[in-house]
Amino acid sequence: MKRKKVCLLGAFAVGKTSLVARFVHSIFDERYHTTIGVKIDKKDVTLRGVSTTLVLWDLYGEDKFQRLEASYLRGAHGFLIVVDGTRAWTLDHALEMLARAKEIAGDVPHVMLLNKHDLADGWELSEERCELLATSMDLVRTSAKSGEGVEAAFERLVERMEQR
Amino acid sequence: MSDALIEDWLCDTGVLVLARGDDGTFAVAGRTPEFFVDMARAEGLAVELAARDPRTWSPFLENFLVDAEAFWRRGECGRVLSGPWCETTRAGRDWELEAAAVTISHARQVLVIQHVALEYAERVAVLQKARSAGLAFDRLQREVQDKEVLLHCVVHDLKTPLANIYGNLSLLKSGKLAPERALQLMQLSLAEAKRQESMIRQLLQVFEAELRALASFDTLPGLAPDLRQCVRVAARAMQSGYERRGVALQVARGFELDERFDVHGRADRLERVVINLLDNALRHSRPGSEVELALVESPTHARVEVRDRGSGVDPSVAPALFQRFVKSARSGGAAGLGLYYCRLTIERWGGRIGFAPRDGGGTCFWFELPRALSPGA
Ligand SMILES: Nc1nc2c(ncn2[C@@H]2O[C@H](COP(=O)(O)OP(=O)(O)OP(=O)(O)O)[C@@H](O)[C@H]2O)c(=O)[nH]1
Ligand SMILES: [Mg+2]
Repeated sequence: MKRKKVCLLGAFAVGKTSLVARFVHSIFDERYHTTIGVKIDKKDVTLRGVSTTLVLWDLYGEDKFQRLEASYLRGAHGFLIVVDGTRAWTLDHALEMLARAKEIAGDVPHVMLLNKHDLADGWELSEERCELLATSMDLVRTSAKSGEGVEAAFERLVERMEQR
Repeated sequence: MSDALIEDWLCDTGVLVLARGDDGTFAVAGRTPEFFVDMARAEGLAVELAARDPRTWSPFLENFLVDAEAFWRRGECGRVLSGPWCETTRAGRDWELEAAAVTISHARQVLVIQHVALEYAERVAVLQKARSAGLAFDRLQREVQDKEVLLHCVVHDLKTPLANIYGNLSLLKSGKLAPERALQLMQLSLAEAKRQESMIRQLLQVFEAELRALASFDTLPGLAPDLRQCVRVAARAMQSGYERRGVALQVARGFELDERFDVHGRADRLERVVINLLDNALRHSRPGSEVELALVESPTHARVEVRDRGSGVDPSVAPALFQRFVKSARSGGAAGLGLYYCRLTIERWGGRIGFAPRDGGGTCFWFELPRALSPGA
């Protein structure tokens, strides 16, 4: 079976670990357990008859305590860039990280996840900004809590990687 | 110190030492620490095999060994660290590990793997504290911003009627107005004062509801209100307002029955919800049009619908209609708080609220509440 390395990138506490837990194990935890270093999970997916093993690199959220380690991105086939829709600054941070990741791993397929979409009340991203962004990249609104959009986001990335 | 001595010393500290052979494969040097025996077993591999090529069971080490090999090729002394990672074995257990590529002497290269559970937990605890504080800071900052915007909206909305009243009073004070004109201005001022009062009332309602949302559940089986009665009270309260605007209010038969229809909630607040929805419909209705108040019953729920023939909800504000205020399209302001109050209240009682466009124009606002079981049922 083919193996594809997928890295999850984004600021701290945007929901990277939660999205993997939802996608791989169908679970969600309200509590916040920050990730140190790297946590790797695997999941087999089948899209249009083609089976692939996704090796998911859940990287720690970059902040002033931990900087992104360039070597972790080596050989990545795809990126999931995660943004917390209730904290607008995490979008700027994500775009910055994406630019740096591209320098390291090249222009590999990527999908941006606007996570915590269940928290509509606290949503901080403006529609206009998202629409503009959607013209230049794949955007999926997700909720690790409700499961909304999670499968779709991973599938979109697999599809994009297949097209390569 | 000889290479063998260094390796022995490393082994005594409980780390796994894998010596690199000329062909690039590895073999355990010295004792095999317990953690590696357990890990290999969990992966379904013999220790020897797991040691021989760590790439087969660890994508992380597969990646790290690229850096390690480059380092060994350079022949420098010292070490390269992998940084911590968490390996999940097939059995689902997490292992917190850290690796180092070490050159002991130019002929001796080893890969050292350490189980760092304790250090890891300590590091997590420290980082966790810092990041949780960061998250709380973000939340607080957002709350402050929200409050500022709300305050701005409220001040703006409250200022407009006051400016009108002020203008009217100044004209009246001049004493040069014809009696009919003076009367007209006084009536206008009165209407503006009413508008301001209603906004203040709505604000107070919202603050009260938000406070209550923090407090404990406020429905008790004995207090379950009769939905029919509440709707009748609300319709009566709004009747004169509808007449003044020339809008007909049609209350469905279902509300006139004597038999009780108990729902979750509290009577006074439920009445206020219906009044807010009727008020909202009235504000968007043209004179001569009609607003219907309908009841849809099911064995478990009651659904109340307020259907108007107004201009419909602007799609740009639709997603945020039931929110505290609309940030981008600031049409709502304090005046838009009525619907937010309704949502807070209904959802608190385990219900749902929403709206949909109507065939032939206008909007249907609805809410659903679970039926309360009669005591003893
Ligand atoms: N409501 C809601 N909360 C979420 C969602 N996704 C994650 N969370 C919460 O957000 C917090 C952070 O989630 P994590 O998955 O640990 O975030 P992370 O990006 O892995 O964080 P780091 O490992 O620190 O970089 C946790 O309290 C989660 O329960 C979501 O979709 N909706
Ligand atoms: Mg994490």
